[in-house]
Amino acid sequence: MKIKDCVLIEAFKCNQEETIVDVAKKLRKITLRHIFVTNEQDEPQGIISIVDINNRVVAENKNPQELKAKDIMSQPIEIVNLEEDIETFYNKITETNHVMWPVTENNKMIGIITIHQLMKHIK
Amino acid sequence: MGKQEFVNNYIERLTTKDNDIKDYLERAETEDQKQELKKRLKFSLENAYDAYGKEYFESKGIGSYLSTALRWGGAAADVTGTYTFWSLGPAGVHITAPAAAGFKGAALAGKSLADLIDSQHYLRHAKTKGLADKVKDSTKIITEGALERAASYTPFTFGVAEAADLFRGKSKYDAKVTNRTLQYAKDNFLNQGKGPRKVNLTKFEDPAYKEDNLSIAG
Repeated sequence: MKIKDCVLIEAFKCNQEETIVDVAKKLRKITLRHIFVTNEQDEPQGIISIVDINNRVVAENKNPQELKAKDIMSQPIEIVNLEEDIETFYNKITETNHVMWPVTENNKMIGIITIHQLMKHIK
Repeated sequence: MGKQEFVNNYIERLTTKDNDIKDYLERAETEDQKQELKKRLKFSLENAYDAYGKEYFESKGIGSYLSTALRWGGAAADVTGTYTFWSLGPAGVHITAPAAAGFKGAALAGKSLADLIDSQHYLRHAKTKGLADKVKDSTKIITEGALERAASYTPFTFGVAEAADLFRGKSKYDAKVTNRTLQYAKDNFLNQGKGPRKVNLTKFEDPAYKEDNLSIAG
């Protein structure tokens, strides 16, 4: 079974040049706790969590109007292709503590796969 | 142009004039489905603005006022040049031509400086795949405008070329950014229906911040 057979979440992402204020507003509007960061070609580059904004901006007393997404994102991130086998991918990510990954097609981010979806299809 | 203004301006245009979007919306079986699709289109426009339009449109500072002033000043000098050239009638152009050339030269300098300011802003703040694409866009815009600029320099079009050069001046850069932003929004919206099944982000919206784009627009 492949990733494309799972139900994905629509891509929740921001551009790497967006300010942290705008990223925070997106995270406020959508109840997901993580947002993926993409470049101009829509390729996933990193991930930002609400905790990252707290720890890397607020607690460091940095200016969120000046910092950009690329300045605080966590990277590298595990990326999964639409055609990849679910079990192969699952074996790759068992050691990580992430709960969602960007799904790509022709290197462009087209959606998100969650750990819940993966678990549903693992035998 | 802020986000809210951009979304309001173009959501109507896309839903009524863009055939691909119109066809897509017409597939909705109920009014509720149609409203849901429109909501997704609005969401795509907001995201596209953040990714491709925001930095360009919202970073226009004093340079924008300066280039506008230079364009209008240049247009005024153009008109004055044309008027001066013909002020003594066709028989007197050998007397008026040097003064007219002075006005036309000032107009040319002013408008070229305005182009330089606008192209610099575009190079710094527009989102493309890379600097090479920005330079290509800028070169294309300047080349396309060269004919109008040359025509506006001559006193023989009686204001037509001068007006065309004035009004198409800055809007060419804005149009490039706007078109790119709209294309991104449109592709994003239309591609949502393709490929694997997906849960829309609208399902994860926090009702308390549903209209959050108002504050993002600043």
